[in-house]
Amino acid sequence: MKNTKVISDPEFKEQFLEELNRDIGIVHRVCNSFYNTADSAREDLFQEIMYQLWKSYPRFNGDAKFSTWMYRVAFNTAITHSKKQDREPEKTEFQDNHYPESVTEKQDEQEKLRLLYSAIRTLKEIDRMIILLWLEATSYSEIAGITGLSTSNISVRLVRIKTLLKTKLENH
Amino acid sequence: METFDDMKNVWNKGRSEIADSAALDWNAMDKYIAAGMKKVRSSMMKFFWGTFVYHIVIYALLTHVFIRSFGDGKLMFISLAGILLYAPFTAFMIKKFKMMCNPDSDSGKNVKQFLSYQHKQLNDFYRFKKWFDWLGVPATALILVLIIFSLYVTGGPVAHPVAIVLSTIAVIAVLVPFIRSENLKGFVEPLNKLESLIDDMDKSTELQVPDQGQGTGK
Repeated sequence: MKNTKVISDPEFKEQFLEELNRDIGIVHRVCNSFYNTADSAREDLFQEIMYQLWKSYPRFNGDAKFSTWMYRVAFNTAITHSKKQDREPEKTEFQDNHYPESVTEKQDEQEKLRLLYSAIRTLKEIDRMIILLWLEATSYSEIAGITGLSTSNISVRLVRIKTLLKTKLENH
Repeated sequence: METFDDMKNVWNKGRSEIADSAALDWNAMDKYIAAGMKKVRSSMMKFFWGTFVYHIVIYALLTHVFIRSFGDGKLMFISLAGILLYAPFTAFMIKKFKMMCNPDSDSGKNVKQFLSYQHKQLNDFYRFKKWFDWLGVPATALILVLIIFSLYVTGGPVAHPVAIVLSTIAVIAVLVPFIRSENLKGFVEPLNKLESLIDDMDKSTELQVPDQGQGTGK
């Protein structure tokens, strides 16, 4: 088990960075699910998650996978962060920017991804987490370990969230 | 995106792009850590000043009066009584404040545990603060009025009981909007937000379970 006393140990720092970089995409995807990439609050959230990960790492004892622990820290920080924000980010609006008539395949994929994130951000915070984890192909038991909900609850909610998300995307 | 598989395909393509471009080095990490520490310190200090400013003002004033009126038994008694009345409040409030800002609060807990823990810490502190507001703020107002009457009004507090009561009420009336606004911003709104998140998680148990043959989200 790691100890807070070794937080400045270079070997410990290297180990942290190695594990972090292996799953760094998790942090980006959580941030994108809470804020638009153009929003300065997104960078602020990313920075805060990085700090919380570093601060909490000495207490990570390997009971769960590193990625599971990372999701927990990232979601907990994102919820607290969005709670602190004065304005609600895209709570009710589904961003409908211009969709160019002529686009390359890559631009098309990026636009679809942007729309997907935009639709996710209109969901309630808990629902955002669940759909993100589902999109990441996380098992129900792991989603339960991250959120604290039971697997049956997750199953129920997922049906509703997926339908809601699909409707949002279809109506766009 | 017509099907759920389309959604997953779009998601997975975006995933690989992020993974390819996002590795961090220690220079970047150091900046994030330094910025994070600065932010935590600044928000804690803001909260600290918001909560303890009355205490600091009271101690400064009472100490000033005690030293200035050294030899005047009545004034010395009022200021000393004020300090003694406040000391346990301050000590207990600092203890609660430390618990609320507990560095052991582990953000690696699952989301439900984390939200419940945050709610409990904030609610415990707010409950005590409300109790303090009801008792401590009128006491503060009364002490201030007694000191002002003792120092600047001929005949002192004994000669003007009605004026003392009215002045105390007036001081309380001035303080109440500030306290209410501080409580609303610092406690009521964050607690409501946490409660709505926790309720949302609990509510899912009330939903009907549809026919789901799969055991994983894959």
